[in-house]
Formats: sequence, structure tokens, C-alpha cells
Amino acid sequence: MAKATVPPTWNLDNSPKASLAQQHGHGWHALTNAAWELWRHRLATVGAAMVLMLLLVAVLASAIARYDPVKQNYREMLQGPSAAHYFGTDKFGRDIWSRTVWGAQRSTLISVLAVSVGIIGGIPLGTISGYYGGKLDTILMRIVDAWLAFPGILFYLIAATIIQAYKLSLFWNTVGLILALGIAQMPGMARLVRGSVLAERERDYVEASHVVGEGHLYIAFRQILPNCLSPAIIQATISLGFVMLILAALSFLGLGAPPPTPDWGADLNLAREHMETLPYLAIFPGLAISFAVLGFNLFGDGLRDILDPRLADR
Amino acid sequence: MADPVLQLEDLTVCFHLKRGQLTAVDGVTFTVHRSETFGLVGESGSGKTVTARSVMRLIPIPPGEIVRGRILFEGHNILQLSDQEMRKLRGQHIAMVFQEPMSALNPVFTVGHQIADAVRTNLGMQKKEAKERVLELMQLVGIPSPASRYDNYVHEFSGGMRQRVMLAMALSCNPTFLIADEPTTALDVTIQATILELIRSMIERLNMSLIFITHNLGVVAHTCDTIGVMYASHLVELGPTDELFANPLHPYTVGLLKSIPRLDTQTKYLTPITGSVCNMLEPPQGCKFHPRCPHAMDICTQEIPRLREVASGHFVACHLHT
Repeated sequence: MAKATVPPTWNLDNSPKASLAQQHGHGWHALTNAAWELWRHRLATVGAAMVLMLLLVAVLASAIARYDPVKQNYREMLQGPSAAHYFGTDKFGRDIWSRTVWGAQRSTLISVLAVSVGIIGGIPLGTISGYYGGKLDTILMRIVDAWLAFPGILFYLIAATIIQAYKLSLFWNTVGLILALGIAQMPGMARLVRGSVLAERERDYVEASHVVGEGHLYIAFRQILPNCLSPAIIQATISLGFVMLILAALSFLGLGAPPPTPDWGADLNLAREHMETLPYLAIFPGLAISFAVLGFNLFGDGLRDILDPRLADR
Repeated sequence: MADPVLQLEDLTVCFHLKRGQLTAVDGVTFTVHRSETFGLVGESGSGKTVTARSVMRLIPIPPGEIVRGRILFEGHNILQLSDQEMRKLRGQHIAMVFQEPMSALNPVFTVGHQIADAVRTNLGMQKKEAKERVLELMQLVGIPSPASRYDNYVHEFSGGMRQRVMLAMALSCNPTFLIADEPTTALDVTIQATILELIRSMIERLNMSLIFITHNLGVVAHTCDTIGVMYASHLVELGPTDELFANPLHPYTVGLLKSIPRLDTQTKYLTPITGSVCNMLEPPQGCKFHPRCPHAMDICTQEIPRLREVASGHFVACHLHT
């Protein structure tokens, strides 16, 4: 009998490189895959760094900003970027660097709080709906459906207009915005969590928890929910960027904070009339918005890869 | 032995499915006495797991329904307890060990945390006290160096160790009754033996009663005092282990025993039971086993045989033995 010439199919080389190659096949395909993976993780790291930077700026706003962001100075109106004013000044002579920095604090604070409102409302809703199922689930999910079917931008506009109409103080105006933005995040979050709870509910450990005598609410929130949190965390991170964008849009339309509050969207609107002569007025707040949203999106995508390995190959 | 702990009387469980009504357990009656080990044997789909789950009230209703019968635990009908009473019963009196320890433990918590949770729910202990109790339990079920394993996650344990964790969790609240649903099926043969031995020693040490569910006759022969054989939702034979192995009466039990290789006799070929299990949605008339039975008679196709005592403690449901 002829000796088998077929090489053995197993591979004793257990180094990570080898296993990567095994996972993705050989040659060019493996190479592009590996490059893609590295690139993705690099993007995630970049996203994390951007988010971190934004948070730092937001927290240290009072230390970094060199001028009072609302103080007008008619001797230094409409100046270009310089050593004294990094980003220049607007038509009231206000320092744009300071306004951008304080705007970062405002944007971050509002989106973090709004997403928290969405989480606090959406997660319990989704958990209860998914865990108890049946009629309760049907009713809750139809409400969520209706809620989701309502056009988002319309909801924001209506809410912001109502808030505006009451001529509230800056504090209450901001609280109103946070609630409006947060409530709009609830149904998506509820839907997401309900889906994971629904799948997780059928697992054996849930039955095992019943067997040792644990109660329904305890099982739903302490046993099942922790297994469903990673998609919610990813969703929340991406929502942060989204909410920032909506906030900027509302401020741009004049439905955000009353002037002279430093706010990216409002500043962008203010820059419109000088767009052709002094473009830097629009560039810096615009860049700030893009920077923040991009940072959260990249970070969110990276989290998805890390927390949800099932999606990594898609 | 004369002290009955768990009595099932004419238990009948149905599932209302889209394709029709399925009777998973039909008129099952048996008694488990204090510190007795009761083996429930049968092939997949014979209703043994549904029987055990009914005792724990884990049958999802709907689509399940307990149509008839009573389950008496220490004189109280389990089926009439309130949810609150049932929770207490589950944790502190009846415990259960599952087949697949990997999925029966929560993947996001450490093993110690999970057992401690059960301890705290049922015994109302403080965190520190609970931890000591957990370490004690882990020692008891033979997990080496429990202190360092306390903070490990389920995936860091081997299959056998996971089943030990499962057992520690079941024993955490001093139950008097344990239900083991195929606890060794998912394990290696060598690990099976140690886990079996462990369960047996725990039962003896803590003076518990046990229902042991398995499809492996060899396992029950070693472990159990009494054996019940189930086929297609019916309990077909019931008797003390020695008696049942020495003198099997129901053709199904005989067939099962003939299809196991034995070391003490010279057999060239095994004799399998012909045919396959009936469709449970449209079961045959009369005795469910008659299409496969070598001794089938006319009456078998018409009348369901009742369980009758043929010798002391030995019951059989077959028209051959009336």
C-alpha cells in the first residue's frame, strides 16, 4: 500500500497568529482579515481616546477656558484665531475657544443625563415585558411600537417648542430638554433589552433559580438582566453621540438653551451670517460636534466587538 | 422505611400544543419514603422529567396542564400551595440537580456568589455568614481549595466540578428531598462514577430522600432502593431494585434488560426491542407498548392495563400478569 502523502490536518502550532490564520483561512484572505481586525480595534481605541478627551474637557471646562464664555467685548469683535483667542472671537467679542469648551460640558452633561433617563425608563420596561411575557408583553410592546412609530424629529421639535414657550430659566429649560431627549430613548432601549431577556429567560439557570426558591423580580433583575446588559451598553454609547447631534440640531434651530448660553448648535447658527467672510466661526463648533459624535460612534462600535463577539465577524 | 415523604396519586399532565393534545404523564402513582432512593427509568420522552418537574411545579402553564391527581409532600398537596409557600418549599425542602450544569449556572456571576445567593434567599444569612457556609458546602461536595475557587466563574470549572457546584447549591439549604434529573448524563464515564458516589454519600450523610431520573439502568442498579420504569407516559413497572432486576415482569423492562451487555453471562448478541416509541400525539389504543410487545394479545389493543401488585412491593401494568 502506498504511504499516505496527505499532510496531517491538525496543527500543533498554538500561537495566536496561527489560530488567527486557521480561523480565517490562508493567504491573502487571512491577511486582509487580520488587517481589518487590527484596524477595527485601532478605531475603537481612537474612539475611546476621543471620548476620554471630550470628558476631560467637559470636566475641566472652568480651568481650560481662558475667558468668560458669555462676557461681551466689543473691542475684540470678529477676530481670527490668535495666541490670545485660539479659535478667534464672535460678533460680540466672545472667545470661541471658551464657548466651545463650555459647550462641551453642556453637551456632555445633557446627553449623559438624557441617555440615563432612557436607561432608567427603558431597561425596567424591557425586562418586565420580556420576563413576564404574555398579555403584559403584548400591551407594553404595542405601546413601544406606537412610540417608535412617532417621528423622532417631530417629537423633539414639539417638545422643544413647548419648553421654549414657557420661557423657563436656563436650569429648567435644560431639565426639560433632558427629559424630552431621554423619553425618546426609552422605547428603543426597552425593545432591545426585551429581546435579550426573551432569549435569556429560557436558559436553564433561570429554572435553577426558581428551584432554589428565588422570587420573580429577583430572577428578572438580578439573574437575567446582568446577562442582557452588553447590547444595552453598546446601544447607550451610540445613543450618547446621537443625542448630542439632536441637541445641536435643536439649538441650531433656536430651540435649545436661551442665549447667551454657550452651546455648539447655537454658535453654529450665529456663525451662519458670517459664513462667507469668517468661516472659522462655523468650523470650530462644527468640528466639536463632529468630534464628539464620531468619538462615541467609534467607541460604541469597538465596544460591540469586545462585548458581543458574535457580531465581530459581520 | 414506612414513612412516606412524597406521594404521587394518579398524576396526569397534558400539554396543549398547536398540533394537538399531548399527554406526557398519564396516571402515574408512586410513593417515596424517607431516606429512600427512587430511580425513575425510561427513554427520552417517556415522561420522567415531566413527572419530576410537576413535583417542583416547573411545568409551564399554559401550554401544560395538570389534569388529574395529587402530589403530596409530607401530607400537603403541592398543587394547591400558593406561590409564596411553593417558593419556600423549593428552596428549603426540595432541591433539584439538573442534567447540564453549564447552562444551569449563571455565566455572569462567580460560583461562590451564586451559591451564597441561594443561601441568603433561603436561610436569611448575612453576607459574611453566607460565605462561610458556602465554603463549607464546597468542601463538602469535594471541590478542592474552595477558598480560591469561590471567585471563579462557571466556565473556569470542568464538567464534573460544575456538577459538584450544582450539588452544593442544591444542598445549600438543608433540603430533605432531592430530585436529580439525569445528573450524570452530560459527564464523562469516569466522572459519572465519582458524581454518583458523591450523590449517594450526600444522601446517606444528610438523611435525604432522592428521586433519581436516568435512562441508564446500570446507574440505578447501583444507586436506588426502588425503581419505577416509565414507558410512553405510563408507569409500567415498579418494585425494589433487586426484585426488579431478578424478576422483571413487564415485557418492556425485560426488553430493556436484554438490550444491555452483561459481564456475568455469555451472550453473543443483544436483543433490542423492535420498533420505536409511539407517536405521543396519536398514541395507540390500549397498552401503549403493544405494537412493540412480543406477547401482545387482543386485549392489549383495547384496554389500558392497570398497575397491579403481583408480589410484595412489586407492581406491574400488563395484561400478562393479572
